[in-house]
Amino acid sequence: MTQLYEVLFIVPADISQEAFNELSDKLKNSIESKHGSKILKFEKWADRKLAYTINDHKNGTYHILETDCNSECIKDVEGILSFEKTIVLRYLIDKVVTKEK
Amino acid sequence: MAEKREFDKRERRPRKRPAKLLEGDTKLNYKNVELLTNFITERKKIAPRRMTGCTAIQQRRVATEIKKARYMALLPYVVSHK
Repeated sequence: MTQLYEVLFIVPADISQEAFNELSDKLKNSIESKHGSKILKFEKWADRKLAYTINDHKNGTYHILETDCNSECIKDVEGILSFEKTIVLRYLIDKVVTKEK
Repeated sequence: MAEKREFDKRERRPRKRPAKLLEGDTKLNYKNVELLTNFITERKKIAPRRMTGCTAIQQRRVATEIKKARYMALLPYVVSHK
């Protein structure tokens, strides 16, 4: 039983490319290698000024990750995102409701 | 006669129509910040139904999407005085 999830997370605008690559590799490894699920979309969504400061950061880059996976897999993703507190300022996991059933 | 007048009063009240902004295939989503800004007041509060013209179902959905957008720092919780 898989479910379509959409994960939006914020990284600071001044983060180094290496640190971000490390994070994205971790996410990809967890989803694709460990759980064998599909990543449908993984891209930058926007560079934005944050509506309020988070940990003294004023600007952030939003990234979107769409995946079709089971609940254990999304728990792992959540674990990774919540562990990397310096890199990931906020994250939101949203279930995508598909109307066709 | 009196009966008729009451009937007229009842008829005058128009039925609630869905908010114009949500008509058609506009997607209500927390990432659609431009659309959501139409549903908040000057002080960044969630606007009441009498201002937005939402139906009850629409208003509930608008409110949850605004709250998601606030959490992701897309919309402010309060107005900052700086």
